[in-house]
Order: sequence, then structure tokens, then C-alpha cells
Amino acid sequence: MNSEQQGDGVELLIVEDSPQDLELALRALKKAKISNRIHVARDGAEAIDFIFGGGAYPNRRPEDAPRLVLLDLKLPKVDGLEVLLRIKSDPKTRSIPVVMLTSSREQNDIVESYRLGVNSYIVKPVSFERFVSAVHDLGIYWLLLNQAPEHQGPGP
Amino acid sequence: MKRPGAAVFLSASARALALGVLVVCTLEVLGPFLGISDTSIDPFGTSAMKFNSALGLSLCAVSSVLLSGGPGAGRAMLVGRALGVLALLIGVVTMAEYLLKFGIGIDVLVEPQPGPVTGHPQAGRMSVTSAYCFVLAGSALVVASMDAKVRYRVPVYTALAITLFVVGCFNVVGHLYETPGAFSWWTQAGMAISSAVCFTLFGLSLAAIAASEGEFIWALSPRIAAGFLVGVIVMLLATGIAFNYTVVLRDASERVSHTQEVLRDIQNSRSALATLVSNQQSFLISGNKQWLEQQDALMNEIQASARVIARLTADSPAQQARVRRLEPLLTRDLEIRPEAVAGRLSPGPAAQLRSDFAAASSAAENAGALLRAIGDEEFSLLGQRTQAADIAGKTTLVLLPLGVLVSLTILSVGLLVLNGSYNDRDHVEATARKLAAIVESSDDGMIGKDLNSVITSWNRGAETLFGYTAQEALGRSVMMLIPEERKSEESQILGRIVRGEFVQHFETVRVTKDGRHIDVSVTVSPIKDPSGRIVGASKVVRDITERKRAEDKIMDLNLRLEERVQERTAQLEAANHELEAFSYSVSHDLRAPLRAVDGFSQAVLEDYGEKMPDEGRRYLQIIRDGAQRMGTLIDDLLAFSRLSRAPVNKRQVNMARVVSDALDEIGLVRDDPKLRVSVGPMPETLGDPALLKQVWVNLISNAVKYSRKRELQVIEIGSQTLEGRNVFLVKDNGSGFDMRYANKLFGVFQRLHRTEEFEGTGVGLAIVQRIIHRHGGEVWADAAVDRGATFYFTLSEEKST
Repeated sequence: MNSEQQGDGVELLIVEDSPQDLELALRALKKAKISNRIHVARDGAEAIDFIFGGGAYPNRRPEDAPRLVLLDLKLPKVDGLEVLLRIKSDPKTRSIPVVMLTSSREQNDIVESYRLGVNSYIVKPVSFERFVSAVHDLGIYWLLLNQAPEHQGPGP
Repeated sequence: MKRPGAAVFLSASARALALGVLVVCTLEVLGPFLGISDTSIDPFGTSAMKFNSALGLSLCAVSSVLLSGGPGAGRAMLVGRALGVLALLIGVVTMAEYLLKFGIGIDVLVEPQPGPVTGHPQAGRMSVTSAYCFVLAGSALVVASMDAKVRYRVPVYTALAITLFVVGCFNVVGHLYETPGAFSWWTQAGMAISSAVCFTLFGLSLAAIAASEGEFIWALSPRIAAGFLVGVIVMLLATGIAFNYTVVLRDASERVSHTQEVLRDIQNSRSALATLVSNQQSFLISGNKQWLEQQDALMNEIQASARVIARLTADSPAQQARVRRLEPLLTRDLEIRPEAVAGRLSPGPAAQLRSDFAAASSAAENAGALLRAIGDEEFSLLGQRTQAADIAGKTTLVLLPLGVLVSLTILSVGLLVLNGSYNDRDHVEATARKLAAIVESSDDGMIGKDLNSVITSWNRGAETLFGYTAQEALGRSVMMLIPEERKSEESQILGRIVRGEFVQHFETVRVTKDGRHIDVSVTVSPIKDPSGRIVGASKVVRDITERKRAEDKIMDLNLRLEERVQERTAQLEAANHELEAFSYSVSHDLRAPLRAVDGFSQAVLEDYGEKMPDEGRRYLQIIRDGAQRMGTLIDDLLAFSRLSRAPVNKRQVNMARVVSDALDEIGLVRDDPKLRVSVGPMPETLGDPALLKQVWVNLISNAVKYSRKRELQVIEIGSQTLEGRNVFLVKDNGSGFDMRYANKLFGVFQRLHRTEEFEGTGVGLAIVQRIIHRHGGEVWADAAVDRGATFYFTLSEEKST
């Protein structure tokens, strides 16, 4: 799964605590032909370490940020909204597209996520087919169609 | 002291009359010094007012002016009384002079020239009648100036004043009919006309003061007063005319008797003349001297008659002229002189005798003719006078009973009016007693005070409230009821009262006799006298201690209630938070396993489906359906629970547009020939458009769903008015339901159809009901199995059009 432990050249970071959901997500990504250079963080703290460097990832730099973060809301240690806040409040990481992939349809969560600068909010459908199609669509959009800035430097 | 308009008018009249007296007296006293002749003041030219009469009358007039202010003006009363005593002294001393026949001569002392008045027994001294009038006037003034509480004060001086007025009147009338002494006492000499007028005016002035004091005047309505005045004038008129005719009758009778006397005397003279002439003829013929013996006696008789005639006809110039021509004829011309007589007796020339006789005869003839003429004139006068006397007599005969009749009528009417007003007064008094009883028995304290805050009335309520008895409170200041820190309130209240304003339900604190502070509500209104002047205030004091206590208690309870509400609200908020956390947890965690179930079933189907029998694949498919259905259930349940918490943002809503949006959202194929949807007119209403759209979406999609099996689905959307409320409805021709289960329609997860028949979670109508209830409206349904269903709902009544 984790072909690149230090995450060099990682294009997609999945932050997901549920192993079943993770497996289904990876299966869906695979079905959508987005399986290369994926890194998985199992909680919010790990995700922050991976992006900003520290903890298990002392060599990581914010400049080596992934091209897309799929973020669950409800996470152990540090929850999804806080991870989002960290990413979006740092000029170096602000431009990383973050997609909330969550079970919550709560209006509060949706509103709060967008307030913090989330780029997309997707509710995980129960039906696996629809899940696959959703993952497919967002992968195509964010990884292929969306034009990101060339190199992440300090923001404006 | 209340002095209404009538009383004020009467005092003013009294003052004016007294001032009139003062003017006349001043003129009389100063007349000699200023060179004004008595006759210019006294048109009748009888006797002038004496100096001490003028002095006395002036004192009386000044006293009257002082007393006209009514009792209460202390110093004026004292001075008035002193002046009255002086007037009384003048009267008494003068009367004593007359009675005891001595003279202290005060008049002579003061007056420069003791009046050169003729025909007066006591030159320079006032008449007895004047003295008598001064006794009356002085006594009246003394009584009038006594303390107001003296019994019979007013009636006594009223009677004295009226007597004075009547005596004055009689004397004035006496002057008018040129018999000044006719109405005097003891002596023939009456008072001067000016004195008579002054006493009359003064009597009236005193009477006016008495009337202004009399309480009945205040109660007298202007109409009654005017009627009374008219009555008095009519009576005086009738009396005056009757009096006048009586005098005329007396005059006429006198003149008739005069005339008759004149006629008698003429008769005598003529017969004497005739005798004289015939005696002279007899002497001439017979020469007998005997015939001339009566000549002198007859001459005297004729001349005496002539004098009587002259006197009695003094009023007629024509007669007087005749009398003057008669007089010389009746002297020597008539006589035959002694020489002529001697000539007849002695033979000799008789020429002397003949000429004498001829002269006498012609004089007698002339005299006879004149006498006849006088007689004729008198006779015709007799006729006229008899007629005049007759008329006067008859008029008097008519007028006297008429006057009595008029007087009787006025008296009767007066009596009736008075009786009526007494009855009215009884009624008024009864009402006043009733009101007084109400005031007395009221639980509210009712207090009267004057503009100096002095308590003038105090009812039993006030006694109970404040602890002071009426005796203790009356005459004291209301300040004793006001606590120290609120003393300024009284002047503020009085200020408003003086401006004629009311103070209503003013809540404050007052202090009782034993020093307790009580909460009271005070209402103060001005008290006005009949002329509209504000003279004090009436105060209604209500004890609101109990009410205050109740209010405090209510406030306390409200406070506690508020606390409890806050407590409950906090609890509710906590519960809500828990519920939210729960929903969140459900939303997030409950679906994760479902996704695993569905996802891995799918994975098995995909990865191992070929190695599985059909039955195995079907089971896996059932597992997936179950998981997905449960996902839908969870979603609906969460939506439902969200609705309970979301706020309702009401505003004016165009319902037709909401329905149109709902139809768009459902995504019906508009030109589907199998489906006919009609939308009726919709009124504007008040509500949350997003939530109302949800209602329409749920109801319309239900209608579509349950009519799906019809060849032609007919769905009517509309509104109607029911008992003044707007009712919205969605009607379909679908499968309907049994009304026995209608009560289960709106319960969460309650379904009346099997899922194989019509899919659904049983949350849609629960959501509809929740939204409608949150709008304050109602929702209900009407249906029959296989005959379609109609769902109705209303919204809150407020502002719906």
C-alpha cells in the first residue's frame, strides 16, 4: 500500500481511520484508475505530520505537499476540521486542494468546512457503486483537470 | 365664604345705593358753602335737609358700604357698627329733645346759619320722623354688624331696613302729593324730600345686604328672581295707580263740594241782590224808610258771598276775571245814598234820588248778570268735576280689587314656586344626604382640603386608613400625613389643582397616626365654588398596601418563573446538544458499517461472483439492498430530526412560486400524457419558503407515487377558503387508504402500504406534519381505498390573506 514511506512525489493523501472505509476507498480509487502515489494517514495528527513534517515524517516539507487531500471529518486525535484549518491557514499549504469525504450530512459540518476553505465536500454514499463513481469523478477533476499552481511557494 | 353671582350683584347694588345717599347728603351739606341753592337740589322747594340729618345719613351710608362686604371682614364690621351707633345716638337724642322739650342745639353749633325755614316748628332741627328713621337705621346697622352666628340677626335687620324703606317711601309720596305732613308722626311738619329719598335708598341698601347674606338667594334661580322682580313691579304699579286715583277722587270730591258751595253763594248773592232792588223800588214808591232798613245787612251778605266765591274760584282765571268785574259793582253803586233818601222824604227835587236808583238798578242788573255767568260757568264745571269724580271713583273701584287680585296671584305663584323650590331643596338635601352617606361609608379615605392644605373634611375611610378621628384631623394640615422625604409632593399636587387639573391614581406613600408607612393611590380633584373659582381639593386615598404586596409577590413569582424557565431552557439546550451529538454520531457512524456491508458485498460479487451459485449472488444482492435501504432510512430520519431544530424563517411567500419550484424539484415530465397535474390559484401567505417547498415536494411526490398505477394520473393542487382560513390541498386519484388508519398517517416510519407496493420510508408525511406544526398550522387527509386521497394543510392565521 505505502509504496513510498517518506512520501516523495505523493499525489494523493487519504486521511481515514476506518479500515473498511479505507479499503473500499482504495478499491474505488483503483477502479477509477487512480492508484499510484497514494499515501494514507490514519488520524489527523499523522496527516499534519505528513504535510508539515514532524513525528513519523521528520523529513517532510510543506513544499512537498500532495496534489490532493481526501479528508475524513471524524478522526482520532486531531479531527478533520482542525487538519483542514492547519492546511488552509498556512500560506505554504493553502493552495493544496482538500476534499472532505465524510459520512456527515450535517449542515454545521458542511458550513464550517467551507468557511475554513474546503475545496469540495462529498458525502460518502452507502451504495458502493455510487461511491466508486463519486471517487472517480473527484479524482478526474482534482488530479487531472484542475490546474494547480506550478510550485507551492509562500502564498500572497 | 361662597359668594355667588346673585350675592355679589346684591352687595354691589347695596354699595351703589349707599353711595347715592352719600352724594345727596354731601350736596345738602356743602350746598350753602358752594352757593348751590336748596331748590336746585330740592325741586319741590319745601324744606331742606337739616345738617345733622345729612351727617347722620352720611354715617349710615358709609356704614352700609362697609357692611356690604358681608360678615367676615372683621375691622370693617367694627367701624360699621361704630357708625351705626352714632346714627342711633343722633336719632335718640333728637327724639328726646322733642319729647322732653329741650334743645342742646347741636345743629346751631355746627350749621353756619340756622335754617331760615318757614312753617317749621323747630327751625334748624330735623323732623321727628327723621329722628325716628335714624333710630331705625342705627339699630339696623348695629344688628347687621353683629357676629354672623347671632340668631335672628338677618331677619331683624331685614325687618328694620324694610320699615325704613316704607317710611321713606311714604314721605316721598307725601311730597309728591303736596302733603308733606300727611305721613309724619306727631307734628304736621314732615322730613325734607331729600331726607325721605335718602332714607328710602338707605333702606333699600340695607335690604340688599340682607338679601345678599340670605342663603336662599344663592339657591334662587335667575328665572325665579326675575319673576319675583316682575311681580313686585306689577304690585307697585297697581298700588301706585290705585293710590293716584284715590287722590284724584279725593280732589274731585273736594272740587265738587267747592263748586256746590260757589253755586250756593251765587244763589244767595242773587237773591240778596233781588231783595235789595225790590226793597229800593218799594221805598221809591212808598217813601217808607222801612224798606231801606235791611239795605246794609243785605250788602254785607252779598259782599261776604262774593268773597267766598272769589276764594273758591281762585283756580279758574276766567271766573277770577268775572269776580274782579263784580267787586266794584257790589260796593256803593248798589246803595241808595242817605242824601237821596232825604230827598225822597222831603219834598224837593227828586233828581238825585232817581239817578241813584237808576245807578243801583243797573249795577244790580250787571252784578246779577255776572253772578249768573259765574254760576253758569260753575255749573258746567260741576258737571265736569262730577264726571271726573265719577270716573276716578269707578277706576278706583276697579283698580283696588284688581290690585288685591294681582297681589294675591303673585303671592300664590310665589308660594307655589317657593314650595316647589323647597321640595327641590328637600330632594337636593336627600340626595346630598345619600351622597354624604356614601362618602362616609366608603372604604377609601375621602379628604377635603383648602388651598392652604388645611383639612376641611374627613370621612370614616380616612379615619380607618390614617388612624386620626375627624375631630383630630379637621383644621390640621395634610402635611401630617406625608412622610418627610415626600413633603414636596403636596406643593406639586396643589400646583396642579390650582391650575384646574386632576391628579389621578398617583401612587405614593403616606404615614399614619401611629407612624406606619402605607402604600396609597391618591386621586385629587379641584373643588370649585358656584362662581367657578377653585377653593380647595377633594382627595380620594386608597390603601394599596395589599395590592402592592400582591404585585411584589407576582413579581417575585415571575422572577422565580424566569429562573425556572432559564433552568429548563438550559436543560433543553443540553438535551438538544446531546441530540445533535447523537444525530451526528448516527449520521457519521451508523452509515460506516452499512457502507462496509454494501461495499464488501459488491467486492465479493465482483471478485468472486463467477465462482458463486446464482442463489449466493442473489443473497448478496439482498444484503446490499438491505444496507442501502437502511442508509435511506437513516438519511430520512436525520432530515426529520434536523427539521425539529432548524429555525423557521417566516416571511411573505408567493405560494404559487413555491409550488412551481417544488414541481421542478420533483422533476415531473410535464408533457407526460399519463400524468395530468393542475395547479389552482394560490394566495400569498406567511411562512418559510424552503420548508414549505419541502411540504409540497413530499405531498406531490406522494400523490404521484400512489397514483402511479392509474392509466391517467390526475393530481390537483390548489387552495380554498374554509371558515376564513386558507386551506391548501393536494388531491390524487391514486390508491387512497382506509380512513381507519388515518391516525397513523403522519407518524414516523408509519406506512399504510407495503414496500413492494409502494417504496418509501414513512418519514415524508411526518416531515410534512412537523413543518406544518412549526408554522402553527394543521394538516389532515381525506381518502378512501382505491378512490384517491386528498391532503389538506393550513398555516398560522396571522397575516394570512
